[in-house]
Amino acid sequence: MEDNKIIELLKIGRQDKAFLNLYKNYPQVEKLILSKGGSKEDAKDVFQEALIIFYEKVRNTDFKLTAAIGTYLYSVSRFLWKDEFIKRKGQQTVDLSFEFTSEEEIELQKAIEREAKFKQIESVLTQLGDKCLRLLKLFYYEGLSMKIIASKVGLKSEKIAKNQKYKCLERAKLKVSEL
Amino acid sequence: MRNELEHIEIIEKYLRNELSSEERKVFEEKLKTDVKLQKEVATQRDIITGIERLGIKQTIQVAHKKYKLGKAGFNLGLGAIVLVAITSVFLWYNANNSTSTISDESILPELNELGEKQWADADKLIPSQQFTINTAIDTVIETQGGIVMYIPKGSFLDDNGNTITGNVDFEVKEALNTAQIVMGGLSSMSGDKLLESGGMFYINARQDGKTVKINPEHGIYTEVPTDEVNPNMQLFEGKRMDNGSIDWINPTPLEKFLTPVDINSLNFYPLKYEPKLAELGLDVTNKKYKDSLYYSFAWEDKQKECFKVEDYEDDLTEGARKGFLGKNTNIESHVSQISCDEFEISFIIGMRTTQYFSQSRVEPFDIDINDNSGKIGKSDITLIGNFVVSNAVSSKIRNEHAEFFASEYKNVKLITQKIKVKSSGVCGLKLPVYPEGYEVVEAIDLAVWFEKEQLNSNDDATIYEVDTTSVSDLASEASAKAVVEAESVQGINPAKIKTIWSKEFNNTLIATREFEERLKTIFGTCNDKVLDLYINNLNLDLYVIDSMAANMSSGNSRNEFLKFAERKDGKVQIDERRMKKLQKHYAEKQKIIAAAIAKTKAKFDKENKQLDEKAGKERIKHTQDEVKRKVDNHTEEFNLNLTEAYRQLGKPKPDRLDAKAIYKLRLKTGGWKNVDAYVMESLDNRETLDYTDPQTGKKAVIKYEPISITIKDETKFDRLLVYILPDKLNSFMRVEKSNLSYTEKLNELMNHNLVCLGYIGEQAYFYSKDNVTPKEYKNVELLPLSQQELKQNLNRYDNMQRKSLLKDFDYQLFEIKEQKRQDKLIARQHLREEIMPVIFPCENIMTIVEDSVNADSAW
Repeated sequence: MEDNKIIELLKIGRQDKAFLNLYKNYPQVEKLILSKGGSKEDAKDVFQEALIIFYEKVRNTDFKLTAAIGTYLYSVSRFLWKDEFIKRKGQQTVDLSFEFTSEEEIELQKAIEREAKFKQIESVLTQLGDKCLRLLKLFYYEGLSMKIIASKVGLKSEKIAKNQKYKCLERAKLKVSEL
Repeated sequence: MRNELEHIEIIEKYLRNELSSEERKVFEEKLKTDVKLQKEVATQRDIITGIERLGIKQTIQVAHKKYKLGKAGFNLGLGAIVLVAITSVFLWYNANNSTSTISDESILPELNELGEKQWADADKLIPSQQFTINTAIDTVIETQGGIVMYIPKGSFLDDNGNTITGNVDFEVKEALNTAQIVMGGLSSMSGDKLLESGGMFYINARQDGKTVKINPEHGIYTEVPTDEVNPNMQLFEGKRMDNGSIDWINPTPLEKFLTPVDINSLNFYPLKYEPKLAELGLDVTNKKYKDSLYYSFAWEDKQKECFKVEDYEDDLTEGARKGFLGKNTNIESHVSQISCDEFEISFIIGMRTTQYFSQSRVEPFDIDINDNSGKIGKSDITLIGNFVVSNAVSSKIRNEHAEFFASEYKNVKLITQKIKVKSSGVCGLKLPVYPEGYEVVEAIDLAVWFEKEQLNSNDDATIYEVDTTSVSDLASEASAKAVVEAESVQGINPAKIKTIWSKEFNNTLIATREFEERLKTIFGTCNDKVLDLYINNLNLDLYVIDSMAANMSSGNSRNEFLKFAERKDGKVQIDERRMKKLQKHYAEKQKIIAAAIAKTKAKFDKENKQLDEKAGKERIKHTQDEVKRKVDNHTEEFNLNLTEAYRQLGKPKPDRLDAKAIYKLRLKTGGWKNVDAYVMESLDNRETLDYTDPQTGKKAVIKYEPISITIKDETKFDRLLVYILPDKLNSFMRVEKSNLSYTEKLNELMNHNLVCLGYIGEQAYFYSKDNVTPKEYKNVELLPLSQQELKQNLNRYDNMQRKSLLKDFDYQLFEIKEQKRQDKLIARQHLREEIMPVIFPCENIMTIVEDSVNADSAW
């Protein structure tokens, strides 16, 4: 699939299709991580993170493709793994050269910090309970209307669902603000 | 919708760009200066992003799985079977904690580890890593390639099998990846079969140039790094061939050691326990809270143990040490332990009385004491009991009987006893065996520990927190339920989990991720015995215990255990002595914990029972006070009215002692005492008296006119009381609510002060107005006051009235607190009912039916 089409898919909310396509780049990344002292599990995590960074870049900024997506994901994965590796071993023993400009590097570094921050938030959110989480996901991630959501989660009316959504948000806020 | 929710809604609309341009302007203006709002907006934004990211991650996971599935399909197409093996080792030897050196070009000694002159290409091509091992200490080494070896002290033997002392040179050569294997001139051929290598390495230890042996009893515990663990890996030995290659022979399966982790990093809760707490909106991050709630479900095990007749026919003073009805065992626990088939227990109890009874029958679920009491002389040992327990299929004697018994003979200590078994093939129930001198202290400590678990953070948490120590038994019904809950549950006793989830079990197979996984299945069996199996076989390979567990279970659990067994998970090394010690610890500690928890529960129940009794007394007292107040008011007002009526009529008021006497007279007679009757009627109905004396034509008029009071924000109060203080009465009048307002009729003969008292929680709100007149007082606003201020505010009233008001205020506050306590008890019981099914999945416990009308309540 063409890169432009993948970006289009991401922009219209068809992440499922887009990600499946992007996984064709995974073997490369896996090979890289394995050769640089990581495990398959590491490779999986790194690639997932790279996908998220890519996704957020496409969604939140006026993203212009300057290289092939595959190349981009590979480079980002490499950067992420270097960072992770240094964190684990406390030293830089893996040679991972980069083709990032310093600006891009700063951006990636920020993305890593962002990831750390949201890992906390996400773990708190997963404690909200399945029902709340499902409702919030349906609304914010899947972008469904409250009416449809109400029927999906078995609430009597749109109004009750809406009210419940705010209650869930309130609970989430309480938990997140305690972080 | 509540205020907070509306607040969230506005922020949400702002974030989603759904505000009108005007609303937006206002909001942004506020946002500029309001730091709190800024923070809230940021948090809410983060939550939305977090939710999106969770969604994304889920989608990615799905994509990953699909991707892998696709790949697997492709692989199957190859159809090849790969023979798997790990390459080998020449000798398994040691190295040390000091520095290692790598010689670029191996200078080989004359003789190899077998004392032969033969060397393979690999010996020459692969650089050697040298370690010096001090044989007097345990040593861990890590090679360049990441192989970790643990070399216990005294691991090396000389030719005669004696332990070598001093330093040993330990050499390692390794080829862990394909490149190194090829470079090292190694192949992965075993005969004519191709092996998949998990890495090849060579070790050898020498002292003074001479090869020494590894003590086969110790071995060197070795970890070879790998990306993926292949369960079929085997260890091959290398044999140097004449052509310089190495052939791999004598495959042996690898021992699979488990890696113990810090036991506190593991999760031993039942599978659905934490999700359930989360679902109920409880704090799942607080381990203390989760623990205390979970462990509060523990119960004391009544151990059923069969023993032979002859074992127990003699005097059992010795039994104290054996744990049977011990020296300091009091009657209460003794009695509640008896059960099972028929047997007879005689015992002598030390007490300074001269009672005697025997041949008391103990039926299942009942104690029926035929008291043939008689004296057997004055001595310290004077009470002899003789029970026959017959046909006790079930193992319970109801607590109330035990209590009855114990209350009859309080402080009775059992000194010695005989147990005589009447029929053969008999079982008895053993008392929990506590190590001597140990149980009481330990139990009390734990009880304290329990109480310390109190959370102070917020009110809700506290409600549930106290729960840790409670089984509510307010009503007798609840009590019965509590007993059932505590006694007849089928499942894993939380006391056992508490026993093992503790640092004592660090460095055993209990403290492994592998056991953590098993535990989830063990919970599913609801069979304590399966858990015991693992704890009592700490020295076995996990897969062996898995098979045993499979044999003990059926259905799903059985399949799961069989699957675990297939993994061939190994063991964690443990020495015999420690294992024995842990088994003993396990057996004893769980009882101590259970006893402590039971004790704490009992204490809590007792406290609540006392509070219930106290509340009951208070209420009776209050009712009596109310009656007295009304009667007194009535008397006083009647006298007042009557005096006035006679004054208006110009007649002397008959001299009477009190209103009650008048009332009697009125009933019996009539006639000229009609005035009294009219006055009484007017007072009773609180209607204006308008009486004309038929003889003189004079009139007596006493007006009653209505006052009504409405309270501002009335609904926000949990409790609202309106009092009228008539200046000529000693007490107050309570104003009742009718329809929308509080109404009363005021007697024109008196001046009236108004007092309103409201409560939200325990916060008092107060309003007072002096000299109110018959009219409507609308939207009276109550203001918050401390209890201190409240009392000060009453100072200006007449002493008697002040006292009666104070008394009523105190009572109202007491009621509020009492209500709160009751609510908590109910909430606690509900919580327990909710949690029960996830802790004991095999029990069919009725859960509270959720209010289906209110969809919200399901959340």
